[in-house]
Amino acid sequence: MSATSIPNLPRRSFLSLSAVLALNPAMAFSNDEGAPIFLSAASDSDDTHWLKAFTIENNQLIELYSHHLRARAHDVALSSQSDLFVAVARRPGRFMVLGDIVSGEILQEIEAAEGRHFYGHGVFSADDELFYTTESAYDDLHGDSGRIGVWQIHKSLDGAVLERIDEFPSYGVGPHELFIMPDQETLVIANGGIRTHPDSVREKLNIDSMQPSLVYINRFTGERLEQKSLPAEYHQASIRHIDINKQGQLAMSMQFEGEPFLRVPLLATHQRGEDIRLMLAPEQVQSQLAQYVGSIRYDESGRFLVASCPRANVLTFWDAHSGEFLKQVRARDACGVCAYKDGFLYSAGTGQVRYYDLSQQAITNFTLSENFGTGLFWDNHLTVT
Amino acid sequence: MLLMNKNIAKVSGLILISLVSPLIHGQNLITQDEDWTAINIAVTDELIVPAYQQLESQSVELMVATETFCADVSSLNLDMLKSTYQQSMLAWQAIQHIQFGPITYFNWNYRIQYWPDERGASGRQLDALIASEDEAILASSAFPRQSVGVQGLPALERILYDDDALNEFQNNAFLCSLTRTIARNINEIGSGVAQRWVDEYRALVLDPVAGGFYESAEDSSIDFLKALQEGIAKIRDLKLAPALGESFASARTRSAESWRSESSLANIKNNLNSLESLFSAYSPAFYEEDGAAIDAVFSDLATTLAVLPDSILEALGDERQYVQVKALYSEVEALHEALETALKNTDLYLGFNSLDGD
Repeated sequence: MSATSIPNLPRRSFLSLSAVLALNPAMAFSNDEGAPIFLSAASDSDDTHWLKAFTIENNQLIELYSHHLRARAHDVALSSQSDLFVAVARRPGRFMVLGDIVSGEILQEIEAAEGRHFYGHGVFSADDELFYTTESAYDDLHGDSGRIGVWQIHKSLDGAVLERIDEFPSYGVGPHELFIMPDQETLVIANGGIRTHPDSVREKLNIDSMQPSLVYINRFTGERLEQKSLPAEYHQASIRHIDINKQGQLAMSMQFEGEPFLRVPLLATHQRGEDIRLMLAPEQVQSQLAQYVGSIRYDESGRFLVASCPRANVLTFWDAHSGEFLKQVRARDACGVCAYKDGFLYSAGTGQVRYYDLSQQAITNFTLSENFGTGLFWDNHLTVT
Repeated sequence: MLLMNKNIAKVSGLILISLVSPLIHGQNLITQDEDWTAINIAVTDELIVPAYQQLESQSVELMVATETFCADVSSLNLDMLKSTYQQSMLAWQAIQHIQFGPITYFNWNYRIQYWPDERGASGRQLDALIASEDEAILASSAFPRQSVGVQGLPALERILYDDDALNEFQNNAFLCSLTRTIARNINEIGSGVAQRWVDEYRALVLDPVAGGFYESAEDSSIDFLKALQEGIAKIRDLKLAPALGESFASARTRSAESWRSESSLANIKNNLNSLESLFSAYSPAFYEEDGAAIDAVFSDLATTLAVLPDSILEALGDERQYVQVKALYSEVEALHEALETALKNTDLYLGFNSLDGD
């Protein structure tokens, strides 16, 4: 894995973005303080895989740095305390990359524990002490092979490193996205329910018997606090991606493995202690979603949700309070979404990145700075600082 | 808008460089919206709409043949109905690769042909429906809401190609009611899809607008190119691989599509004819040598298919013909690879997240 940062970027981490930009006048911003940095995995037509960071200036995406990865990464987790990021390998990958958001410096390349692989997602604790990953103990072919890897973050003047210190059961199979609840003590995990094995990379081994669930555990002890399943008729709806808003509401998105013509909810919300609330779009929309949601995110306010449906080439927007479907926006091959300004930034396998403004109901296109290169496919998830 | 800007940029770029250097790979060969539009118009008006109209008119024939047969349940009329059914199936096979647009409305795609049915649910549901003799289910308001497996061409095939079909029709009037209902249902779907293409979808495809369903002519073309790629993959992965099994001894003919009516390979011939026409329409989008490679595989496929019977039961039952079907599979595989290579040499993206998410 070779770092191919832009020349002149300072190698030292924990510098502010404005400091970086001062050294790179070509990337100067009008707004020194607030310019967010976006991170996403990407691939190109030569089957080369990247981690890329960019910012937005004058309707142009400006690539800040780019790191070659040995395989596809999936999501990039960001610390809310420091400038650390972790890009996690896509299932059934076994690597993570710890780096500095601002400088782009790679601080550590991390291997999965023996007999474990990652699922592409991880989360920092708010105090920056611990990092959690969803993992598979894949040689356990029959039991609940889902694991939560617990990693200590060691910081020093040279940067930071992760050390795996513990693991908990995920109380299910195929754990995927995970978050820490606003109480900072509870870890919530989407157990997708699908059993796979690295030997038969993408073959799903238990579609008839899969039991996805949403699990809340104490992140210090691993104790299971609450576990929720979808109604039995939807047991083939794999709960994959989740998000939480400031009010503590959780939203989840599903990928249905059953018959393509059934009317099955692909989104739901949950409040601790309550039942899962399923969300369905009107028939003519729902039936076109191809039983598949890629990413789900709340907007800044926590009121609205976007769910990307790359197989249907649409983004769907929802009112998280009422559970109502609001509208859909055509977006070819779009999957990565993140809250941005009054709406969402979204990235697509076509290489395009766009902004949808919820209040204006308007789409903004961005051009890509020349250093991005051509033939880029944005991977499934997009993250913003 | 982005696409158009990009295209404009490329057009002017090409004018400058074309005098001094040949095209390099990784570019779109079609750089103007009008050129994509011209192909999209030809494909829509000469391939897609006529194929759906053909399906619609075959389904009318099917309804007529059903009436004739039910008025006089005879061996001769059953044979005529079977032959009309086959024509309907072949008409569907000619447009089966289009899995976007109106065919996806109201589950029409699954209702006209639910296949493969890996759990064999359709057979059980059809048996239960026949045993119920419930005419109310056959009402045009109720039937479209029944299981997809009892509604379309495979259900009809199951009924007509039953070894004891004639006898059963003679002894059970409900079978005729059901057959009539399925024929009418197929006609409703065929005419519905054809109508919506003409009335609505044609305009969507041919008049793309920024911020619209299709935002550029290239964007519209992508759906047709995806249909091409997915159609080839379907023949390889669903129509041939499961039936071939690991070896001659382990061939699983009942995994094949339309094995009862012994027209599995006839279906594939029709699929490939349509796919070849579609590719040929879009060939200006590809480098000449890549297009020639694809043409060559289509030609190999025609040669291989020419010596094979329509029935995969027959072909897989003979060791020499099994080898031929295996060769057919390899050629379909080669076709898929050749198309992938051709696409890779352009900057056309058919899908990344939509094909391989997590």
